[in-house]
Amino acid sequence: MKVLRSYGGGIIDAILEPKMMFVLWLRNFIFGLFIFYLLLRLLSGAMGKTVFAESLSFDINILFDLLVHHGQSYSMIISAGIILIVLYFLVSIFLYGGILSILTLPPEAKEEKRRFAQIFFQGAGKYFGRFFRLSIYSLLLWAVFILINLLLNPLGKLLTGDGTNERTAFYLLWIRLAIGLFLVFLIRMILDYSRIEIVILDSRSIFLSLFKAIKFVFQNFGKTLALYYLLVLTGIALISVFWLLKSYLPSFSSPWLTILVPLVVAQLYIFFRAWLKIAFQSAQLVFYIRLSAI
Amino acid sequence: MKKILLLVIVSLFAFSQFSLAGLSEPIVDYHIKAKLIPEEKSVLGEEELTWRNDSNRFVSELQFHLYLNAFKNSRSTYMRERRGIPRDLRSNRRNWGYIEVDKIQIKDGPDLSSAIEYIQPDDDNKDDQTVMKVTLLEPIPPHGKITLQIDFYSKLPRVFERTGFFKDFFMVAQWFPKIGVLWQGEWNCHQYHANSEFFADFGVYTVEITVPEGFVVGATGKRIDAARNEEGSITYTHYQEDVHDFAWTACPDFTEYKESYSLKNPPVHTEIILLIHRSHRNQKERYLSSLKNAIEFYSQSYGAYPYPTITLVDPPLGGFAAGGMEYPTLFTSMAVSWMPKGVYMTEMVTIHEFGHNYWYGIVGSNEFEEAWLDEGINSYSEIKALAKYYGENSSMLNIHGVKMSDLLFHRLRVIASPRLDSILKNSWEFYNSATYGINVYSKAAFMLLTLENYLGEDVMSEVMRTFFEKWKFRHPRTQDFVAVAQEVSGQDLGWFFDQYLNSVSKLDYAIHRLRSRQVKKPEGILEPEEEALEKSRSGEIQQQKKMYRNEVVVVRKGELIFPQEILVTFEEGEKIREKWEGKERWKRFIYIRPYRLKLAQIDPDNKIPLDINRLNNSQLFIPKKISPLKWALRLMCNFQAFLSYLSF
Repeated sequence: MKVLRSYGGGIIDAILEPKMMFVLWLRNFIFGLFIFYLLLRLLSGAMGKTVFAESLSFDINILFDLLVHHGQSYSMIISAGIILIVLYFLVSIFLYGGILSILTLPPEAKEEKRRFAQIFFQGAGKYFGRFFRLSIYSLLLWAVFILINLLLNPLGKLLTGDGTNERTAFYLLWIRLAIGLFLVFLIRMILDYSRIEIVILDSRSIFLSLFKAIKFVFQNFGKTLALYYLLVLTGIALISVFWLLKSYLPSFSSPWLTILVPLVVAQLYIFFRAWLKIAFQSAQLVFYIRLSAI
Repeated sequence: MKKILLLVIVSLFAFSQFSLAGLSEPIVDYHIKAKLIPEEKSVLGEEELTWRNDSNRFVSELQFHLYLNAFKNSRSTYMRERRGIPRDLRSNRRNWGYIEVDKIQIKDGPDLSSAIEYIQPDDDNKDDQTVMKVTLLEPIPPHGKITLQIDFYSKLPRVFERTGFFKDFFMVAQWFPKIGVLWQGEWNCHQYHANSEFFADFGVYTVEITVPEGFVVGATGKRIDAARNEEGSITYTHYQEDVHDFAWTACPDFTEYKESYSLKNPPVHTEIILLIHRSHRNQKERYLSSLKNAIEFYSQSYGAYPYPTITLVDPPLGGFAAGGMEYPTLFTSMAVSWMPKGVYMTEMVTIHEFGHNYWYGIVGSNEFEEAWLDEGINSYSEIKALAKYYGENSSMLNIHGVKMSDLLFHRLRVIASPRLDSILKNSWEFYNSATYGINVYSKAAFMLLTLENYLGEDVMSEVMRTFFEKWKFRHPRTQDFVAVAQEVSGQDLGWFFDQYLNSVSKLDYAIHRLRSRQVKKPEGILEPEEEALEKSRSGEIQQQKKMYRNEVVVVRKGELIFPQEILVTFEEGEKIREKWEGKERWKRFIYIRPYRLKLAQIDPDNKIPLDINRLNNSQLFIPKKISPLKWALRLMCNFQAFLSYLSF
């Protein structure tokens, strides 16, 4: 019951935070714009004058020509993409503090929400260093993840006879993928609770918070998992809805509509992803508070 | 008794073939007894070889291929060229392979074993033992014969290159002492190289293969006998004439499927034998249908498939290194049990390897020296066959709307090629295996497709048929193909083949510039008559519309020359097709029209697959942003989605 209530509470809390959703979407959009600018320059230069610039359908022939004859420009874009990913990761760590600061505001402090920007960015600044350290410590968990995967390799070879038992190998691949995904979710969940612990207790001992979060997750393993997977299922439902929407988009006679409608749908998708991310934090926060009786 | 009788019949039959000549003029007649020893991963063999001196000179030495010695140690030419020893060989001494000739003797004559000598005609690598020379005590006279008895022991390597074992799967190829080709008066017997395949003379093979009970066997040719032996083994006898090699396979996990196949036009009657590993039984239909497609395509395009059997071998996953290889009347393909239907990998390999029965098997070109004659022509055939049966645009991939053709796959290789080698070269002299593959497979296939578009499909089809018909069961060279192409087309094609076979240059034509300017009346001092004429003209221009001087400049950016077609489209919809020999570096076309240019395209119908850059083949007078904008936005959205998965 606690799980369901936390889930419901988290979903509602997230809906009530449109400003936060907007901030998260804006972060994502700004990073996207950098790549858009670089790509537009490259594509306009490479194919803007050609007959392919008139066609809106995808031509794989041209993709290969672009890759081969403009490969250096693509390398530049890939390098820029890697830099953007690192920056995005840092900005995300920064924003985490703001989100949790807003979500942990007591209900009676509603009027404070009028000072959204101030509280949000104060929190973001306050917790950035701690969350960054947490990210470093989390490498330990990722190392365990890699180790488990490495241990599964010889086991797989044993069961599949060096790949001769193809069916077994095929199913084993899916099982390994499921195990991998389970571990990724588990680590992300532990890190979520660590951050909640740090914010709620205003803890500066990051390693201790990480340890406490692990303890919390494993002490309430079924419930924490149930809540996380409820949220994951919500995410899958969201992805499915947008996938269907994208698949059944009508074709437009106007080229501008052909471009703009999918763009709007894609941005809506990113916006709802932002909502889901807030829901994750909020639901787990509600759950943590309920179980810890803080 | 039955066995003796059978051998007598076979020998008589073979002898009659040998003397009277069937489809080929047989040079060799092999009788081999081979015993598989699974626990040693080896084959014990006894070979009786009759060789006919087809030349007009006395022959005082014989040369043999001992291909398995390529896998003997790290010093062989193959291993040196390969740069890097496979991990499986390093990890276990038993995984190396070699062949030992225990005895070589003239039948009812002297033992020549002491005359065995290893030679290295290609690279002087004294450590290489893949070619054996035997000096005869008496030379063989012109058109004379010699019969030799050879005892040998072949230790198979763990399969990593065409031949060998993986657990109890055995692909036994290049496994016996095979005599070289006395060609144009000289021995043509090359060493085993990393980048080359094989070359041998046509003849008759009778091979008895003994394996422990439980092994399923497939081999070149027709099975004419299967006899159970006292010690619990089985001996299968296979016979085939008009072939130049013999390979076989054995594995207890094979399931054998047989089906007879007939075609009315041209008349083909053959037996399809599929040897499918137990892990790939669900792939049977894919194999069968693609093989039927292949037999139909090659028979109808070039000539009827002449052999009584065709055997497809499906290796297990760990034995994939044996996959995708051709031998006469037998070839290896490859599949995985979970391969999605829209991925035509199995179909591509099956069609390609079957095709080698034509381009290598029947038309026996020298793969060492002119690999394009089999790989290039066969890749050209493969592209056309796959397009016919699996769609022009989806012959390689057709999954959830994502399509890719075999042609495109080859094109990617050609356009990304570093252009270090030409097509026509000794196989082992290519820079590396990638440039070998790009040139002898893809670029050569594109050369033929380009030629087809130049000559027309009907003429090209006649060229290929004639080449096949004229050179089947013989050893053609490049000049023979060129001669056939010239003869059939009635054109001098020297300019074409000289460039494309021997040059590393690129073919790249481009639209360099478009201009459209309003025509202005002339200024300065004119003769009175000219001035009057101009006045009347300017009156016309004013009366009519503005006139534009439209200019299209096309350029040749590469060294290779090919005639070009240019399509010029105007704003009002008028289209003009121009021809250009393409020899000059550039050419300008000018059009005075009351409207502007809209678009110019060189090779507008994509008839020249060798052109390495299609992006410069067209130019709009007014650049468009719509498509770049769409793709930039779409990629941006994908990047955004990726970022949203990466972080919270």
